[in-house]
Amino acid sequence: MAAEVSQLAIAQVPEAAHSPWSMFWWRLRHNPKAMIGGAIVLFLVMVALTAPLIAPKDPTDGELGDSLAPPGQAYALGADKNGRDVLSRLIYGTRTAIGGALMVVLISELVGVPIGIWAAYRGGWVDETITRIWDMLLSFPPLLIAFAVVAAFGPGLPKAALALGILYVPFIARVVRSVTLVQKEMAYTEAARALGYGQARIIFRHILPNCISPVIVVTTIDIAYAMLDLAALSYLGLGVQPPTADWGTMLSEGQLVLLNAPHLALASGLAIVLAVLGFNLLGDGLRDVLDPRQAQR
Amino acid sequence: MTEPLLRIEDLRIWFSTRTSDVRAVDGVDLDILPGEVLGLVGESGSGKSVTARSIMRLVPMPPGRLVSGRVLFHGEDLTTLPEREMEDLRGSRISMIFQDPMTFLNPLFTAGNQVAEAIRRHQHLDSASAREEVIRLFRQVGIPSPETRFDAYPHQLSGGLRQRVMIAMALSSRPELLIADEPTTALDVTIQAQILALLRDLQQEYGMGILLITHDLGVVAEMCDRVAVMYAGRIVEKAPIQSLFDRPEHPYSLGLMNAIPRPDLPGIAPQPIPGSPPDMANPPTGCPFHPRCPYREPICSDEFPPERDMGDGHVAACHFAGIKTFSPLAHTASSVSS
Repeated sequence: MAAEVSQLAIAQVPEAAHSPWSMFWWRLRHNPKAMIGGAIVLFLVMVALTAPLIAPKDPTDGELGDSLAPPGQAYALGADKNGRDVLSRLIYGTRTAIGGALMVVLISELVGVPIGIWAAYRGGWVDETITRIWDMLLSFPPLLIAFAVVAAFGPGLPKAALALGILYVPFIARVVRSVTLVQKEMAYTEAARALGYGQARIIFRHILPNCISPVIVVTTIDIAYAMLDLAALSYLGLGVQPPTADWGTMLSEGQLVLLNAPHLALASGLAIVLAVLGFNLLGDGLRDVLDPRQAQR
Repeated sequence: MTEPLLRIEDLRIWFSTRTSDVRAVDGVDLDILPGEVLGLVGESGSGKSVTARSIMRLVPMPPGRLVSGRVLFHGEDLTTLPEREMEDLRGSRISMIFQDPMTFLNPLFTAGNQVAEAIRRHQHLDSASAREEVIRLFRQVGIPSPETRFDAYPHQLSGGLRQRVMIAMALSSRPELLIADEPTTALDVTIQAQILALLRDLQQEYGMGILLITHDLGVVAEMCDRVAVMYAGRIVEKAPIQSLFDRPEHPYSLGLMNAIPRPDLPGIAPQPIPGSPPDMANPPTGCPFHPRCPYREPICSDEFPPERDMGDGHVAACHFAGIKTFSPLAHTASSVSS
C-alpha cells in the first residue's frame, strides 16, 4: 500500500522537476533572449580563447606602407593608420574587452557580496552606514570617479579595472542586501537557528545560495556596463595603453580618420555594440529564467 | 516531587515600539516535567509563541527585551547562557517544530540533505551513515519510500510529508524537550490526526517532554497530560487535563471550551467569546480578562487576581476561582439530556 501511494506521487511530478538543473536548462532553451545573447557571448568567448589561432596577422605588427588600407584581399577589414590588420586587432581586442570586464565584475563581487550580506544580516547602524556610503558612490557617474583614480595613479587596464570594480560594488551589494533581507526573515532561517546552526553556517550554507541567481543576472548585465565603461576609458586614453589591441582605443583612432577610412571606427564600434548587446540579452533572459514569478508578471 | 525538566519563572518579554512597550509575555510561570506533554493554549496574540521561542532564545532582541525572569533547563538558566552553548543545546537537547512546514524547509536543498545536515551538526557521522540515519528516521516518522524521499525537494512533498520531515529533523538527536508550535494548524484534519498520533507514539518511545502550543482544545484533549491556558501574556489557568475539562476555574478557559463546536451535542451552538484580546501596549487594569468576562465584579477591574491553588495541581488566576462555578455548556446539556 505504501509503495503504491509513493509511486503515484512520483508519477505526478514531471520529469523536468526532478533536478533543478534540468528545469533551469529547459527554461533556458525556451527563452529566445537568453539563447541569442548566450550564442553571442559564447561566440565572443570562443574568439577570445582561440585568438592566436584564428587571427590572420600579428595584431601589433604593422606594415606602414599599408596605412589605412581599405578592406580587401590583403586585409579583410582593412588596416589602421600604422598598417596593422583591423580584423586581427578586433579578435585580440575581444580578450581585453572580456578580460577587463570580468576583472571589474569579479572585484565588485568579491567586495560587494560580503558587504551586502553583512549589511542586511547585521541591520541597524551597520546597515545604515554602509547603505549611505554606497548611495554616495552611486550619486557620482562612475566614469568621473574613474577619471580621478586614473589621474591619481596613472593610466592602465589593471588600475582602470580596479577603479571601476570598486565603483560597481554598490550595484551588486544592494541586490545581495535586498535578497538577504528577505531570506533572513524566512521561516527556514529561524528553523536553522532552532537546529543550533551558528551564524556563519546560516549565512554561507542557507542564505548565500539563495543569492546566487540574482547575482548571476546582475553579473551578466554588469559585464555589459563594464565593457562600455572600459571602452570609454580606453577611448579617452586612460584605460588600455597602445599597442595592446582594444576596441575603445581603436574607436578613438578611427574617429580621427572617420572620413577617409570609416572601416576602422565602424568595425570597432560594431564589435562593442555586439558584445554589449549579447551580454545584455543574456542577462535579461537569465532573469526571466531564474525568476519565473517575475517573468509571468 | 520530580525535578522539572524545564521551569519558567516570572518570564516577561516586551517589545519596544516607537511609542510604547508591548507586553507580549508578562509574568509566565510554567513547569514541564520529564516525559510530560504540556499543552499551552490561548488565542492568537496571547503570547504562546513568544513564550516558546524564548525558551530557545529565538526571540529577536531588539526589538524584544527580556524584562525579567529565568528559564531553567535542568536547573541551568538559559537566559544567561553564552550563545555558543545555547547553539549546542538547540536542536540537540531541545528541539522545535513549527507551524508551517512549507516555509521551514529551505527550498534549495533536498529534504534528506537538510535532515542529514541537522544530524551532522550534533553528532559525528560521516555522510554515508548520516544518510542511513535519515532514512531510518524517515521510516520511523512514517514517510513512505524514504530512499526516494531523501532526494526530494521540499516543493515536491505534500504538507503532511513536509511536517514529517520537520519532525524527523527535530527528533534526530533525541531531544529531552520538544517544543511543538502549532504543529498541525496548517494541515488538514485527517493529516492532523496522523501527525498527532505520530507525535504521541514518538513521545512514548523517546520519553521526551513536549510543550505543545495550540489554539485547539481538541488537540489538547487528545495529546496532553496537563494544560496551561494563556491569556494576555500570562498563564491564567494550569491544570491536569481531566480536571480542566471537568471544572474550569477561570472564565476564559470556560469561554474557550464553549467556543468549540460539538457535533455530538446538537443542541449546543458554539459560543464565541465577545470582544477581542486586549492591546498589550496598554493592558487593562486589574484582571486582563475583565472587559470580556461575563462573571466580572467591581474587584476585577481594580485588583490583579492572585493565583489560587485548587488542589491537585489545578491553579487559576481568578478572584472567583473555587467560589463561583464555571460550568461548560456541554455539561449542562449532557446533564439535561441524560
